[in-house]
Amino acid sequence: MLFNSFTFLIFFPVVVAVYFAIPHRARWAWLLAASCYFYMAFIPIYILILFFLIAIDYTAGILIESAEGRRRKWFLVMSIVANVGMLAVFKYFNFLNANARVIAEVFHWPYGLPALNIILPIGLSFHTFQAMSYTIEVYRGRQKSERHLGIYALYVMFFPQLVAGPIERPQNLIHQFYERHDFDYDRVTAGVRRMAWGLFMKVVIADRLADYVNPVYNNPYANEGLTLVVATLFFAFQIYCDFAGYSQMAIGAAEVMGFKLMRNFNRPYLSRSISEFWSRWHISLSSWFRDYVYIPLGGNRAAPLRWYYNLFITFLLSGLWHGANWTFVIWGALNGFYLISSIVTRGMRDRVTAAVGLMRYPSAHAVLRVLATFTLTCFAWIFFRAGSLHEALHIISHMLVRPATHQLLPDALRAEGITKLEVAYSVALVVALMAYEFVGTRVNIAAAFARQPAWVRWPSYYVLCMCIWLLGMSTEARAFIYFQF
Amino acid sequence: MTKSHTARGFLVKCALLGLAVVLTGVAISQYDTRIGDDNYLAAVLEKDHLIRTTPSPKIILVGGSNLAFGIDSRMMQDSLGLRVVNMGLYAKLGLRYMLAQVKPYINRGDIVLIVPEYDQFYGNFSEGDQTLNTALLYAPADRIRDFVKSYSVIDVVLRPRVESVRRSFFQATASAFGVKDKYFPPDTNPVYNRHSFNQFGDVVSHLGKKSMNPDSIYVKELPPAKEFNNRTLNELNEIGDAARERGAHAYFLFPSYIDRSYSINTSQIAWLNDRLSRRMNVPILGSPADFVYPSNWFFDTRFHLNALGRGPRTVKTIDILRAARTADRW
Repeated sequence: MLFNSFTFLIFFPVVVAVYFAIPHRARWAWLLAASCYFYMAFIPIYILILFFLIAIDYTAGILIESAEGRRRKWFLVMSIVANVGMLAVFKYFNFLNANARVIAEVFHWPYGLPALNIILPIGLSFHTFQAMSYTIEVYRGRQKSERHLGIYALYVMFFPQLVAGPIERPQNLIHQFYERHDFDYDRVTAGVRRMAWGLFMKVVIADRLADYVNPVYNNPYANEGLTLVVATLFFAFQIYCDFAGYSQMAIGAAEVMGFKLMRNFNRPYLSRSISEFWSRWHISLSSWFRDYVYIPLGGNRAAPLRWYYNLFITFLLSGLWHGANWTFVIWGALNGFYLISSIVTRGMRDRVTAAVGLMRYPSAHAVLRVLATFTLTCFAWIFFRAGSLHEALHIISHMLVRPATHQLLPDALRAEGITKLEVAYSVALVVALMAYEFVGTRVNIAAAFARQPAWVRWPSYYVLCMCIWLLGMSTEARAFIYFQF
Repeated sequence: MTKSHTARGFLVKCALLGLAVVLTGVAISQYDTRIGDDNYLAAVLEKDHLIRTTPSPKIILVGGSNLAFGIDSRMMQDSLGLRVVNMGLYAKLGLRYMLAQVKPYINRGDIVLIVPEYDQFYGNFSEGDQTLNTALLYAPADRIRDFVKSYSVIDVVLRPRVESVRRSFFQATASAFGVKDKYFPPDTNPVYNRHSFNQFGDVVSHLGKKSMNPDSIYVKELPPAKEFNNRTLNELNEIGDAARERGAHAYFLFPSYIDRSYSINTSQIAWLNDRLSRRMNVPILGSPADFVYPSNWFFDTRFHLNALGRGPRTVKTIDILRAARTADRW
């Protein structure tokens, strides 16, 4: 079930109404049932995968806590192997198999392992990572094992964040299922407001930008110059509005029912460096990799070369997490390279900045840093969005080598019904979004709005609803990009 | 806690907000963009009338605009001695819609010839795009139930109306600013309009007109195999079963296709042919290559034949159907 579908528009109020109407002791069961229904709206049979992993990790948690010595580690390994194994089969098997076949062909080895004709279970990468964070935290002694199977199942399956995060930690979420959440007017309205804003980002901005991006990136060889540049810039904002919009809706939906989920985005395109970008983009995943991969590898408390290695491996894995394709691996590697380069060149960059006198103009310096970070990020997005490495290289070469071929709307885009007016409208939306985000760095807009009298707030809600309805791209619920991961 | 800050107060406010939004929508929808519409898609009304009133046995042509532009139904009727109903209109309505549109009217002795465009097998294309909402708005009220069986109440009743309000809003706004003719020009397209069809449902408005420069006709690669939509297959199999149960015959044919597009999609089309041959219960007549024609036989898209191509394609289809008639004894 998609958050931007009519079905969810019916599902969510029903779930919330019943949730507040029934006694506290029955609420976990209701939420679990609702979460099962929510997940089964995609491919019903795949819920068995979830049940299987829940059973494994629930048992592993208890065994880890009760065991001692090396046995604790074995039970953790069992849990991790089950989760990573599931990912390996459903997400990475065909990728690894195809690459093995290529290697076999090069060396003329016989190779007959067929590809699996299976669909990736929705949100698999999210809920397996959330489940692994549980067993790891139990192993580390930071979380008590959960004895209530229903509550543990709800921790993995809680519908607002089941299919695309935020990837929660047990310390933050599990105890909330035991707490009683009564109807709180301010909290509920804040949650609904957040959901509405997330929906606006998705259907008004992201889906509109997608109408330009998709035809270009789906057929990159037919495009060049300005078209590719604009499509790449638009994609940067499309994926942001798509995923941040989803996260806002997830956090808002949980907030309505009294649950506090972690923040997932914090104005990432206003970052002044790549490391700052990664502390603001998909925060729940970045912090997962930081806590469970980067720091265990040694983090930055190591010799420089080892430190760079740790960073690179972490980003490489992060890229692979996003998809079983070399484009994602390159995307991750590129971000690792950016980060290592920024560390290595920090001294030199500081000297250059001082030499040209930029230190005296901190605002201009900040703007330049934001623009540089954004440019590097957009360059990496090319690999993220392209269908193959060959396509990505084509886009890069034809974007930079032939910038003189200015054609904002080639025939293929016109054939899709895209007009200059729509492109201008898209640009206006992006500019307005960035202005809103910039103001948000100075003023807590949500808090300021909540303080306004009802005669300001409710007409504003009306305007927002009408904007979503009238300016949204389609009533056809389009899937969120991150659902594929 | 103030009285309005209770759950009841919240519900009342939400209900009022919802009511305000819905009433605004109703008000906007009064600016009905369909009134007096000569839109090409409005021809669903005539097509619907055609399939309801044409007695069986008949040949029902199901597909997108490749059929509308590229079949001479009169020639087919005269050659095969069966009445012909050409339901072909627009590929982006989706194969699901096209099949739902004809399914209730398949009767004993009918021949259902399914000829979808290649794109209809990939991604969400078979589900239809936003034009489907327009077509569903035009659908006669008593057909709504048929479509609900294939879709849902939300898809058939709610979504088109919500979409229509959006369109009305933009047209009304443009009208208020005096720029309606610029952004929503009147539907005066001489080829694509409601009156472009003959009594069989064939588009005939393009026959005397100059075709587009063959080199300018847009061609593109088909999506990769991984985007194949299995749901389309299920729907085709369902129509195959329905035809068998009712004593009718369903066949599948590949669409007319421009040679330039075929040459860049040969492997994808071979894969598709293989996939359909193995998994579809509707027999395939002929091969994709049977319907590949030179660029100068096309009117304006890679699927739309002009007067040069329409005749040979119809003859080929008739020959194939004759062979099927002999084999299946109908």
